[in-house]
Amino acid sequence: MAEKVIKKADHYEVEPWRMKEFIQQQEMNGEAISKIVKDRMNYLTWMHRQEAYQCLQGYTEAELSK
Amino acid sequence: MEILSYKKFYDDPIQKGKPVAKTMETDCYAVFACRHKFCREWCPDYVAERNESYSSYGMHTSLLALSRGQAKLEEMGNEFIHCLECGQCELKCPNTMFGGDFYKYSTTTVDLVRKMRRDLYAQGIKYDGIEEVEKTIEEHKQYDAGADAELTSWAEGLDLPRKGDVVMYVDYYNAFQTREVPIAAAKILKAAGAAPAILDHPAITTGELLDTDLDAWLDGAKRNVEALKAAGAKKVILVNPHEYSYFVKEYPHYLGTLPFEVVYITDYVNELIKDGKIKFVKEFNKKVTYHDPCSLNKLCGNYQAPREIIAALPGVHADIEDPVIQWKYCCGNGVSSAFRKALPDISYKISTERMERANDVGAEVLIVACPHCKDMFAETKTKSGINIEPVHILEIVAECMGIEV
Repeated sequence: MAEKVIKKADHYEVEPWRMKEFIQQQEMNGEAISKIVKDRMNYLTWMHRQEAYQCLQGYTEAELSK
Repeated sequence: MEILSYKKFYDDPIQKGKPVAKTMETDCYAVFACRHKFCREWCPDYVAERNESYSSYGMHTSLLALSRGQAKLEEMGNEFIHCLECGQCELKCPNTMFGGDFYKYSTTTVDLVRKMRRDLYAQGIKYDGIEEVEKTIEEHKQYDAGADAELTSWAEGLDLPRKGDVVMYVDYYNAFQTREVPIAAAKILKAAGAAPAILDHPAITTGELLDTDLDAWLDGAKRNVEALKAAGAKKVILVNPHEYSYFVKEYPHYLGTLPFEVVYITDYVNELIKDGKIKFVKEFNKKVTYHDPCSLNKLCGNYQAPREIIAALPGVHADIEDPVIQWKYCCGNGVSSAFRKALPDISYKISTERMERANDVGAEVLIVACPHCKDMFAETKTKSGINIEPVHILEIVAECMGIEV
C-alpha cells in the first residue's frame, strides 16, 4: 500500500511514480474513474441490502446490559 | 459522455512464435494472482457451462501460460469465443472495483477478448462458428456497398430530414432486422415535436467486424463521424446500445473527442417526458419487468432512464430487479453477437435462464431497450415456450402515446 497519495478533482490517487516499475497506469479519464466509484457504491449498497436481514448481533440485549 | 479506459500495450499484436511483451504478462498475472473469483461467479457463460477456462480468470491465465512458454497460440482458437463481452467480470473484479480508480489500473477483459479474437483471426487461427460471423460481416458489407435508398428504406414515409442539430444514427441491424425500433423512435420524436435527421448512408460498424478487423471497423467509424459532422449534428441519438457503447468508449479511444454530444434514445425520450413534450393517452395494463442491456448497464453505467420511463407509463405494473443483480444477466446474444453465432446452445441456455428470472417475478412482458435482446428473447420464447413477451420499450411508449408502429 502506498504511503502517500495525491488528490485530483476530489479523488484520491496513488502517487503515479509508484506505478511505473511493475504495473503501469492505463489511460483513464474522469468519467471512467467516476463510473468505477459509482459501480462500487452501487455494489456495496446492494450487498448490504442483501445481507442485512441475515446479519447477527454480536451480543444479545442481555449481554450488552451487563 | 466519453468513457476512456484502455491499455495502450493491447495495440501490440500477439503473434505465433514471438515472445509476449512483459507488460502483457504482468497484466495477465494481475488477474491470475487474484483468488477472489468475483469474475467467475456472475459470468453468464460460466454459470451456464461451469468451465473456468473461459472465465476472465481463465483467459488471463491462458495468456500468462503463453507468455511463459507453457502454451501455444495455435491451441487457443476457442479460448476467447466463450465471452459475451458483457463486461460483468471487469466491473466486479477487485482490481477494478476496489482499486481501479485509486491505482488508475483496472481489469479490461472486453478489450482483451476483442484484441485476442483479432490477433488470432489475423493469423488464420479460427474458432468454431467463425463461418457464421464471416457471413454476417459479408452481409453488412453488402449493405454498405448498396444504395442509400436501401439503407434508409425503414424510414420510408416518415419524411425525416437529412440535416439538423439532432441526428439519429441507425445502424444496419436496426435498419434491416428490427426496423420497428427506429420507426418507433422516429415516430415518438416526431410526435414530441423533435423530429431527428438521419444519415443517408451510415457506415458498417458491426461488433463482429470490431472483433475481426480493427482497421476496417475504424474506417467505418471515421466515415460515420464525417457523415454526422456533414449532417450538422450537435447531438447524436443512438437506438442500439451496442453502437452507443462504441460511440462512448471506442470512438473517442481511436478517433479522439467527438465533435458532437452522444445520447442514448431512452435518455432522450425520458427528458422529453419530463419536459411534458410526450403525452400518454393510453394505459399499458400489464405486469412487466425490465432487462438491462449489458452494453448500457455494465459497459456504460446507464440504467436510470428506462426505469423512469417505465414508472411514467400509465397503468403499468412493474417489478424490476436492481441494476446490480442484472450484472449477472445477459440475453445470450452478447455485445458482438459472435458468441451467439458461434455457441447457439449456450446462448439459448443463458437466455432461458434470464427469461425464467422474469417469470419468477410474474411478468407478462419483458421490456428491453436493445434490438439484439429483443431478437434473442423472441427466439427463446418460441423455442422454450416460456410465456413472456419481449417488447422494446419504445414500442410501449409509442403505444401509450396512441402511435401505431
